[in-house]
Amino acid sequence: MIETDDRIPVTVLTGFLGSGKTTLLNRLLARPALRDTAVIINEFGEVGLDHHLLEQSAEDMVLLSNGCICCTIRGDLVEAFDRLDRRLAGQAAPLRRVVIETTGLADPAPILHTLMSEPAVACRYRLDHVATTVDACNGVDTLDRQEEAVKQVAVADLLVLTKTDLVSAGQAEALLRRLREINPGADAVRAGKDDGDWLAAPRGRPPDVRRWLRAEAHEAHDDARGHPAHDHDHGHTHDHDRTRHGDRIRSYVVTRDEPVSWAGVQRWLAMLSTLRGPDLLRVKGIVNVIEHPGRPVVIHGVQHVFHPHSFLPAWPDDDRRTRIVFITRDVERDLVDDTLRIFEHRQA
Amino acid sequence: MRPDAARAAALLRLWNDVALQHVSMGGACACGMGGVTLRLQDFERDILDYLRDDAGRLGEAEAHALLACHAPAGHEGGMVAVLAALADPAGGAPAAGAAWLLGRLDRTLSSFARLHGGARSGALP
Repeated sequence: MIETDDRIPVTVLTGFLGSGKTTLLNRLLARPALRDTAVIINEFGEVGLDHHLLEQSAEDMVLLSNGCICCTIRGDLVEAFDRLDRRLAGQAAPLRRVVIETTGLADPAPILHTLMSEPAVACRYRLDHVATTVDACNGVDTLDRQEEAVKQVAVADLLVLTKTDLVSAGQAEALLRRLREINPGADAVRAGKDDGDWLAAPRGRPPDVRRWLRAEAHEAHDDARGHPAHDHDHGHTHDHDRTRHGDRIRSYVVTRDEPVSWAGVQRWLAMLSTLRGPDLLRVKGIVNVIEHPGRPVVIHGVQHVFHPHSFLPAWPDDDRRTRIVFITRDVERDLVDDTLRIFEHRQA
Repeated sequence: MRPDAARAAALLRLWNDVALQHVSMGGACACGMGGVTLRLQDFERDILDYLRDDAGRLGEAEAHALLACHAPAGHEGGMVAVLAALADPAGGAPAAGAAWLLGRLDRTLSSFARLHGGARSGALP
């Protein structure tokens, strides 16, 4: 149970090949406010970055003996954090943030798993957010052709549009619409002179749950698709939480007005993550539980790996509903909603 | 065969098809899910408890009585007995209670089956 969190925040910076990750990072690190930021570059080879706290890691995946690809733990990343800790030991200047720049082809999930579940890392560092760069020139085409690119957008908390000066306003808007269909909860900014604010902005302790969850963005998107995000019972299978262009990615928020059984929700999440773990790209939520009135539970999962849940000391605002945001691959809302119904009143 | 009986028979086949299939996360997994093996049958009691609670809450006395008879609270199993009773043309299950129960079961078992298998459908087209 974590009420305050003093661990060092980590930003995962991802984005497809040529989308401008390194250019963005170079610009951000020139800011005085980001001086105490360490950078882990997730590839070998020449690095186009000049920074005093730089670590490299190779694509050294440790595939566990069970062959479960989504359980791949980034051994290289664990070692990079270890080297970073040793370099910083005894230094007076505090480390305020770490940025991991991934390779363009990287599936971000194993990196997030490492941050969430590797004890040697998770005890010192916490995932703060995932930022994904999207090339405005080629973004739509890349999303059409590369499932990994769609996945990078799906797991993002922040989308940074690069090269927007090379496209018309209409093209940029079309790309934004496409991105919002995949992930309506992510903030979207254009790369530019102010684009470091999101990285440098101080975050509360505990982190700002409302900002992190962005459930209202998903609810607004649900409404726009003609699917209000409240309980309903129309008894048919539907597909309007699906994005266009044949994407298999779906995003929606499941809500409950009344408190639910925490024992039931835990069993439900275990069931979902076991049956469809690889397809749960991101699950994050705030849950009003019967067992702990006034103390909402924060849940966060990537595929079948869930952070240890945490109880907040109080609700962040007047909205006391359970709100769970799902970004999935081919897992429809009605399946999630119907199965939660089975467990939500379960007695411990 | 009555339409309700045919629908119940289709749901019984669906349950028998998927209830015992295992989903395994494998062992030695550092994410903490290692060694977890699940079957839909593991959730049989959750489903029946939910149906009993829902029938009681909504005043569906016939459905509640059917469940109490074939899947009494606190006992393991019962799904096959409930569906077999509903599928039996000579079983004499009250029509309104059977219809309510079949509607709930169809939606619930179809959702579980689709989660389990990705594209399994329920008793209804």
